Amino acid sequence: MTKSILLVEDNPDDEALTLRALRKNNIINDIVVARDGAEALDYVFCTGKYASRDVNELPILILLDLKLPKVDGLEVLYRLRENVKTKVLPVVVLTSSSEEQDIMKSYLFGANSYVRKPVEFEQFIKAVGMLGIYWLLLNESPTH
Amino acid sequence: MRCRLKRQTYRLNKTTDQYRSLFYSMNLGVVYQNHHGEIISANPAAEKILGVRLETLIGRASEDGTWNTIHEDGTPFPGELHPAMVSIRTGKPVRDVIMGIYNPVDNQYHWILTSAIPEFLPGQTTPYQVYVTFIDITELKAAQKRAKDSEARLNSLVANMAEGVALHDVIFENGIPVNYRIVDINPAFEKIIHLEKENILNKSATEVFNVEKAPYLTEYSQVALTGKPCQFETYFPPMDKYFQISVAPLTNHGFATLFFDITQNKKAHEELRASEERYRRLVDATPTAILVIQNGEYVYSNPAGVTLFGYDSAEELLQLRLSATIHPDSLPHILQKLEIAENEAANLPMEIKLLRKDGCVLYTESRYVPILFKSKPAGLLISNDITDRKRVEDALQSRVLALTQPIDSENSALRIEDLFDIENLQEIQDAFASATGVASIITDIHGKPVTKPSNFCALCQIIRKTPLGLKNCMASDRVMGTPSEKPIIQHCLSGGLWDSGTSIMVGERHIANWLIGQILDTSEPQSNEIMLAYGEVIGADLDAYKLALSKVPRMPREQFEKISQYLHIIAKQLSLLAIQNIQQARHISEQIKAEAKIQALNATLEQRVQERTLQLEMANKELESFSYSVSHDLRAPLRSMDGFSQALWEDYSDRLDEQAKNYIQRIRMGSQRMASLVDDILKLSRISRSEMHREICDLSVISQQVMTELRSMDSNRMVEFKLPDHLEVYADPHLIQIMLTNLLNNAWKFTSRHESAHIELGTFIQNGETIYFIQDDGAGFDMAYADKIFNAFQRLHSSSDFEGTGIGLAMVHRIVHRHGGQIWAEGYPEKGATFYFSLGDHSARREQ
Repeated sequence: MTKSILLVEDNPDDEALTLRALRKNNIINDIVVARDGAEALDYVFCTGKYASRDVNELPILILLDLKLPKVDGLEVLYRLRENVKTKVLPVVVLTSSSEEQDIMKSYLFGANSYVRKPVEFEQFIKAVGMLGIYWLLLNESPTH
Repeated sequence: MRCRLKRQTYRLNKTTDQYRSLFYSMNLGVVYQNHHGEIISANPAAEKILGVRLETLIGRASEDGTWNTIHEDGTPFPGELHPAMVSIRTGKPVRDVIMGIYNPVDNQYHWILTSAIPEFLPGQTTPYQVYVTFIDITELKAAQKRAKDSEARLNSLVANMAEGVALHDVIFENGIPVNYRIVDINPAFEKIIHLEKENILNKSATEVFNVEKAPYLTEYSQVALTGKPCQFETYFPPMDKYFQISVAPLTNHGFATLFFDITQNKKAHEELRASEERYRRLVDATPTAILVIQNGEYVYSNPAGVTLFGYDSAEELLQLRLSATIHPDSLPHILQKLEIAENEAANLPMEIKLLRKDGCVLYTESRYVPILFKSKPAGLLISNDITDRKRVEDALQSRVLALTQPIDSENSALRIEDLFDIENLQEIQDAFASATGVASIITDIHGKPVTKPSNFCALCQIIRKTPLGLKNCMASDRVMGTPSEKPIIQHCLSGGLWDSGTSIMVGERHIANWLIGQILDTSEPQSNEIMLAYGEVIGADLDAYKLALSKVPRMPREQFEKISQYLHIIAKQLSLLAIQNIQQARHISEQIKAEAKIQALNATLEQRVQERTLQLEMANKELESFSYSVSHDLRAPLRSMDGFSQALWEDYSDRLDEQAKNYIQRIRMGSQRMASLVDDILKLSRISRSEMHREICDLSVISQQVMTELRSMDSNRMVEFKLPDHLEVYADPHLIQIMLTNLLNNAWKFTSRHESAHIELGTFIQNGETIYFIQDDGAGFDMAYADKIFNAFQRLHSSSDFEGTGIGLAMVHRIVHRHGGQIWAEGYPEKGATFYFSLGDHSARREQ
């Protein structure tokens, strides 16, 4: 069984486009979508509605938006990095902003990568494709 | 015989008993030692002194080495030198040897005075025993030492004293003291009298000081004879010094003197007295009022103070409280000032409105200084009378006020007193009257005199003393003051006297009249009768009236007319002067107002800067959060538009006709263009938001890099780039990079339609400022739009000609402005464009 990818995205349009882009790039991993930061944390740490999930089943990659309801992206990052189990889990920030402060803070909070969603969909597909190749194939993540 | 023997035996026994008793009870230590030196007997005193019990003493010898004995200097006292041993050896008594012997009981040496006396058996020449006595002198010796130490200390004290000490004996002749002898002196005394001790000891005072009568003999002998010490201060002429001499009696008509040199004290005191005297004279003589206030009362005043307040004597003034001499208007203010001065020990200048004894108001410029007066806190009030100055200032102020009101205003009370110094007018008037022999006066427009009349004839004075006469006179004066081009010459209402008047004007405004006259025309014989009749009409004292009439000046009519003409000319000049005075006053008043305005402006400037800074900070924050929101939220819908259009195209292309596909393309183009506009807005705002960090940047190096990049993207272009070697500026390198990239991109872009192109980076100095420029020979632009070229999203070329969003020059413009510089452009269609810019005052600073 392939490991899942956790997409944290509150905008349904962006969610649909990202899923489409992933499919276009023939990425076969399960995609779990969390629609806010709290849900993302519930999924990762098996709490709330994910309480029955196996704690040892961690996603292979998290695609994280920054502007999120309830718990925002930076806080999600902080909570992931503070926990020893998820300290080294690959997290790619995928967001609209290219504001210097967003980029800087994301890296300071322990993001592995920062990718700005391009407006042009072809570019978006390309970007997601490259992310998939890099994080799912090329990159060696530490085993748990 | 038996009886005798018995008596003798009894006597002997009795004597022996007596001696035994003495032996046991006396304080003198006694031991008997046999001819070997061994103790055979000792009394209790000996036991005590030696600290050894009798049973232990018996049998011990002086030489047995168990005695711990020392000499006075602390060296050991050998046993063979003990008086007992010496006496045994020599057969002679040894007396009064001092020896220290260790007493084991009280653990210290006792000093003993020891004597040894040999005793012989009859017929023998060597003693069979020795009788040793010793007395404990430890206490005595300690007392002696104390006395000796004490004496040494005293001697040392006397020798080292700064005061001169001398011992003397009084010399008597026939029981009368006539002189005294110098017995001893200390080194300080030697110094005082500049004589050496050895030369004067035991000599008489007259001899030593070389005088007929011994100095202070009376005082000294008094002490020596009565035994009562005394002390006196004196000037000692031989030394030119002041001394305080203490005399103490000694035994046998001797006495000691102690000399304190008080010359310094005396001189300092004298100087202080002289200094005080100088200050007192200064304070007495100064025209400035100097007063001392203690507990709100005057406790001292110099003569000027008394005069200032108008009192007859200081005593009169000193009975008053400060508050009684200050005008109630300024009292609270002054009391407050005085309190501040006292609390802060400051010297505060203040203007005080005072009340004189006669009730007149007085203005002073004063200072108040906290001082001590008779060892208690007080204040020194130093005042100068500025009443005159104050009056002039007040008058001036009211004059300025009057002068600066609009002339044509009906309400304005423009008075001649405000325009001229009345004393000056008086002088002119007096001179005129005396030169022409006519009477003269200046009145206001209601006929009320402004100046004092000059040359007024006695007749008019008599007339004016009657009510009707005065009324007529004033009416006449008013008529003659009617403004006119010519002087008005007419009979006054008396009917006989000739008067003339001319008006003084300020522009159109009539402010005063100058009147002359009170003469009789020599060519009018009937005027005398008319005047006499008038005297009766107004009810004047006729005798005086007639006498006065006979003395009225008379002159021919023509002469009076001429005089009137002169008067008119002078009055016209005065009118002119009045206008000038007004203009001057207004000018000054406007200047003062302008200065006050500037001062007020400056005062608020700081505050306004702070407010503006706060506003700017808020605006910046708002811009920041706006940009943040744009950055996050504005692009997402565009992404949806583009993304789903694309999805539509991909998934449903078989069901879409060409038209539909075209529309989809248009949606995608629109959303992409919108996205790049949003990005541009963010770029532009980032330039305004970013912090500036100036450092030295080389425009040439940066430009060269930009050009290299441009060439690499389009290697077919023939573009010549001209630039100086190093063009250094002190600016923000990041912003400069953006600026040059945009300018050079533009130059590159707008020359792309030309086969070959020239681009130049250069610099020149204009009005002391360094101007940089980037010039190209490309498409150029119409100068009519030169002012729009830097507006955001303003484009002068169509997108089909040259692509772009129109944000580049707007960014350049902001960058230049952030550096405090200027930017402008010159261009002609198809002749190229030049962009000139400066980078503010710091741009050329290279030393940083």
